[in-house]
Amino acid sequence: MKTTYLKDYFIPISVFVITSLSLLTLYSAVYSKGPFEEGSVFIRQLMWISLGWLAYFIFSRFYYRRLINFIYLFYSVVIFFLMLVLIIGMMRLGAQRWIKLWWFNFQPSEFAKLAVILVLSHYFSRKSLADIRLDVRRLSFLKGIVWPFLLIAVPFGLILKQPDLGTALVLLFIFLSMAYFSGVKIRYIILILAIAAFISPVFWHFLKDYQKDRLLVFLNPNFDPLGAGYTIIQSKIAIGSGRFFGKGWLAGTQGQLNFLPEAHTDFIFGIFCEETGLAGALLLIGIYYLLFRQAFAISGRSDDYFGKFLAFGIGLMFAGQVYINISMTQGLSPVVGLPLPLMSYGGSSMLVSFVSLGILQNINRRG
Amino acid sequence: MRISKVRFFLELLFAILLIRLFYLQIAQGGLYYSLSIKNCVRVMPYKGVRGMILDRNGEIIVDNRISHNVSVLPQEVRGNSATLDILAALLNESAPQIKKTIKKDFISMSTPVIIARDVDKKTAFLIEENKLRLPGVIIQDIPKRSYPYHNTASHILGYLSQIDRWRITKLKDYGYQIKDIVGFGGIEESLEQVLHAQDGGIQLQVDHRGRFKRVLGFRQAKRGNDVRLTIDIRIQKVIEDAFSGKKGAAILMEPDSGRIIALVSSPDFYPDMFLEEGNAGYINGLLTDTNSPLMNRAISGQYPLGSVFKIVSAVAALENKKITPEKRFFCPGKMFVGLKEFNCWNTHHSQDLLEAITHSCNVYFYHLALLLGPDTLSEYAAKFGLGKTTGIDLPYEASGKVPSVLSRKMKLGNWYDGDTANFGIGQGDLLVTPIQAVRLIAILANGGKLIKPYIIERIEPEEASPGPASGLGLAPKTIKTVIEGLKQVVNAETGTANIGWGNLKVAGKTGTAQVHTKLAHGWFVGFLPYDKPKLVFCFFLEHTGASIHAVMLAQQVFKQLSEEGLL
Repeated sequence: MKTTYLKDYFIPISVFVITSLSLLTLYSAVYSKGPFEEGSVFIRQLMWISLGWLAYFIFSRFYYRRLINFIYLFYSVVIFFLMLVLIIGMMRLGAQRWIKLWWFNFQPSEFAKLAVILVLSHYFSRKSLADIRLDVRRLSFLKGIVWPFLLIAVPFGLILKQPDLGTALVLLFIFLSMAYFSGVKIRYIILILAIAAFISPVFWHFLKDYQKDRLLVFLNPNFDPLGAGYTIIQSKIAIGSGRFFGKGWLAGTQGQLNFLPEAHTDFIFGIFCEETGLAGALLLIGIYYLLFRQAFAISGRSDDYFGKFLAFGIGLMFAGQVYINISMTQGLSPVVGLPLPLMSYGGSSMLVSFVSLGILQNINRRG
Repeated sequence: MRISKVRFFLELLFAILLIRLFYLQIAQGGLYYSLSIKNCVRVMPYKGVRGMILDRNGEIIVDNRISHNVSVLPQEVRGNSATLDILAALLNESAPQIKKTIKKDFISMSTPVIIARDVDKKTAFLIEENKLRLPGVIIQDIPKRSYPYHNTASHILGYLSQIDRWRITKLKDYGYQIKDIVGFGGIEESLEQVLHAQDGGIQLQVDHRGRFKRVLGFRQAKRGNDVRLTIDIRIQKVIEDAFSGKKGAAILMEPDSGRIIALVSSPDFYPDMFLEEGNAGYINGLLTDTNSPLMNRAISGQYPLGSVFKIVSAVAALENKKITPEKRFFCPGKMFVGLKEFNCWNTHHSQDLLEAITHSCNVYFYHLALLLGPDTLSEYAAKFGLGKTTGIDLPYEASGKVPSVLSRKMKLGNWYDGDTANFGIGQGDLLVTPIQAVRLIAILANGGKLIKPYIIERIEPEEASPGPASGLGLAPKTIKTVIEGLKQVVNAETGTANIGWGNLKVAGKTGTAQVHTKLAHGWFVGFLPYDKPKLVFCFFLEHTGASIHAVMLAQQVFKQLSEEGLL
């Protein structure tokens, strides 16, 4: 056990700051909708954050290598729930991403991200019996790319079918980056990218009409200003109108008056920017940046390959989600529906974020 | 290490986010800010009510009534064909027609589109009663100018129309905007800023569906001030009716104060036509009509004065002691001035001043003019207020023209004795407006004062006061003599205006002003009653042939006014 330094408190402090901003913004986003919604959304988020802290403390003290024993169990449970979501969705003749468990909506695709990171970390950090060096570099195309791809292909396909384009994209992003990080030959990665590009027209047919709309609208928001493009336009207005110092807490008109749909979930960044301006946005993005830098630094410091991969994957997950979510609210990428970690309302996402950061903290401690 | 490459890649992505953030919030921040404000702020205007115009007795000449406009909110009626069908039935229109209007005038989903203007009360009430079946249909009550006397006094009042480019440059400093309705001509124009109402309104905050959230601001609409005129609308109407299609002007005025009792210009127009849509034909007709119905002849028309000017010549001769009233000249029906022959309209034989005025003898006044000389004539014409505006409180007054040797020379022309002779009987270059003519006669009626005519009695709540009157310093005897002549004109057996006036005690002077190639204008200018003048008048008929038509018109008017007890 190493002695703890101030920098070891960086993760909990960041989490505390972001979740506090989340609560303030959420309160503002739902404040005008009346006391009922205000209460329920705000209180629920507060409860998820409290649960999250509990999870964080458990996982930051639970030796991460022991997780290996549960990886495939966890992975199987996630796949089971992903299939369950699809089946229930089919039975109800409507697509959905969550299962109602007791009193909350459980969203397995959020957990799939962590499951994939764990599985890939384990796969890539395997050592050959003969050599204590990592043997991925010598792996063939089949073993280096195809097998691990099949590991993520199942959850990837199930999530794409939901359809949850955003999470599917994050999974793909995590897979490619981790494969690259593991040392697999670059030409293998290019090959798989080429194959993906080749079959992507096929995926176009899997997309629902509204998803196709979103992609078309991304190319030109005025394509359908009252439909899918409306959200992008209103989101840009929300962000832009914040200018430097923002309109002030509870004073953002875009969010307060419901011009911005999904203001408390995927588009929370718009509301946040409207009320706090560039100053607030710089603070938030700055913390996210430092958080993923921290994850990469932990990965670099760790002398355990499993820990290295795990920390790297968690950093990737955060950075990828932050980038996709913010660029989507800024009108830089299609609206794919992805929460902003630690900010957006949503229990599954919040819990997964806390668990991941708990694991990260544990890797940091164990070094 | 590959990790640093991945990190660099992610840092690049974050940099993109920051650049985009700068672009949206700083570079485009102002634009998005104003968009966000527009997104949620709606203004519901309350139209202010323009001031009324009343006559001297408080009778309303220009009023405002409530007109009902039917509007629909596009977001509420979109896809709701039942609403449109009911509405179409109530408005006697077809649903596709209404849809077309909505499409044509669409601004945004939450901005009402007017689909019918000025519907009758019954329709408005029907729509209000069926409100529950007609979601998104709004009845807007908008004040509208109304004219209980229709075309009466139209030149005094002017009309309202959408502001033009020239007026916007003049008025924009006072907060006027494009598409504002402002006064054109008459009182509506000269008192625009008095009558003008300030529009108020409520500023509302709405949500994304245009639903009311809260009131941001409220401004009371401010009513324009009422204006009371000096005219008597009943008298005005009698005169206008008497004109019945004739071209010309007539003015009735109080000689001492300059208060205008009636001011008529004919042909006239219907001011309310300018406010309705679909009257372009009528308005174009007014603008292109060669009879210029929009011109106020009483103050803007400039005409040769003819024999009425003999009053000025007579006063000038008496004041300058060139003659005594007993002085006689012989009228053989014509006279040579230089080598040119100048005619009289009759052969009057020997005439003294009173007879010459009574018979309007030209030869007598040729002699007077030659005795006085052109400079004295110009001087007296100016003294009597000719050649410059009277300063009446109506816009677009013309100044007329007084000929002089000097101005002729400036144009490199020569002044001949013949010009002097013509000047003496009001022919030649002299141009006079009817308002100048009535002021001229007022000088005799009020004992020698040049007054300033006015037509605005009160601008609520303040009373306007008569302008300063300047005494001309004329000898009372002069005035008495000329008035005696004017009495004879109307009452003597041989007087040019004697057509049987009954018990009306009228004094006046006729004038037949020759116009090149066209029929002569007819003037009749005078006052009544002659022993204690209460009213001065001027009747003018354009291209009527002879002054007798103007005299007959005056007689008809005064007889009727007398019968109705309005004198």
